[in-house]
Amino acid sequence: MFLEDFKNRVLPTKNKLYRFAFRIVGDTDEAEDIVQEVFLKVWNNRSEMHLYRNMEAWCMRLTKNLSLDKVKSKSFKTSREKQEVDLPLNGYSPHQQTEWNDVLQKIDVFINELPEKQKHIIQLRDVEGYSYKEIADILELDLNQIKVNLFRARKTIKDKLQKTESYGL
Amino acid sequence: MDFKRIRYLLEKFWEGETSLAEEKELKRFFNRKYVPEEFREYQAYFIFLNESKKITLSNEEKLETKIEGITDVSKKLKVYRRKRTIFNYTKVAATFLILLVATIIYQTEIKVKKTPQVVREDTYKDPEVALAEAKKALLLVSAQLNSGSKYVVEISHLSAADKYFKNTKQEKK
Repeated sequence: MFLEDFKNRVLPTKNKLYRFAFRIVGDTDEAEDIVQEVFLKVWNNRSEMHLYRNMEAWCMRLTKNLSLDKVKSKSFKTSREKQEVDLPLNGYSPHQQTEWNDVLQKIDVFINELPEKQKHIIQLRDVEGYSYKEIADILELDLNQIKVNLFRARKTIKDKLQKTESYGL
Repeated sequence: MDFKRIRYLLEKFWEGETSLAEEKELKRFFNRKYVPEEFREYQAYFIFLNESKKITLSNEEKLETKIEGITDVSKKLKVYRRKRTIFNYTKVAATFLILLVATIIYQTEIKVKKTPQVVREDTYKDPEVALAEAKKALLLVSAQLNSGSKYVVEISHLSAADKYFKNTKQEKK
C-alpha cells in the first residue's frame, strides 16, 4: 500500500525536486544526492504519508530544507563556482542554440543573484508554475510575502534584461 | 494574434498580477519561432523558463536502483539501527565494569595500607619496674656509645705529634 502510494505520488516529483535542489546548490551531483535523501526521508516516514494532502509540496519543502542545510554546511565549498545550467534547446538549429545559450546563461545568473526567497519563488512560480498557495506551503511563508517577493524578483529581472538589451550584450 | 492582449498580459506579468493561466499563455506566445520585434526584449526570459522546465535528472537509472534499494532494504536499515543501539549498550556496560573493578581495587588497596598500624600498649604493669627496665636499656646503650671513646683519645696523640713537627719545621727556617 505504501509502496503504491510512494510510486504514484512521490516518485513522479523527482525532476521538480531535482531542478529546485539544483537552483539552490548549483551542482548536479549534490542535487541528485538531495533528491535521494528526500525520497529516503519520505519513505522512512511513510506511516505519516496519509497526513500530507499535498505530497508534492511536502517533498519540495524537504528539498528546500535539505538544500539549504547542504549549502550552509561546512563541508560545502562556498568558493566553488556554480555549474552552468544545461538547457536542452531541442528544436533549435546549432547556430540558434549557441546564440540562445549565451543569453539564457545570463538569465540563469540573474536569477541566482536574487535574494534567497526571491530566487526560490521565481523557480517555483515562473519555472514550475505553482500556485501562490502551494508556494506558501513549500516555503512556509504567507501569501503576501510571496506576492511582494515575486514582484521584486520579476522587476529586477526585467531591469537586467533591458540593460543587456540596450548594451547589446 | 492579438498583440494588444500580449502587451497587456506582459505588463501585468511584470507587476506580478498575472494568473497561472495567463502566464501559460505568455509562455506559449514567446516560444514560437517568430516573435515581433517589440517583444524580443523579453523573449529570452520565457524561453529560459520553458527550457528550464525540461531539465531532468541526468542519471535516472542510478536513482531508480537507489529507490528500489530504499524500499527493499528498509528492513535491513532497521536491523542495522538495532545493532547500533546494542553496540551502545555494550559500551555502557563496559564503562560500568571498568568503574566497578577500579573501585574494588581502590578499596582493597586502602584496607591493606591501613592494617600495619602501630599498636600502643603498655608492656609493664608496674611503673617502677618499667622505669628500672628503661634505665637498664639506656645504660646499655650509653655503655655501647662510650666503648669507642678510648680510640678517640689515641687519635688526639696524633694531633700532638703534628704540632711537634710543625714547631721543628719553623725552628729550622
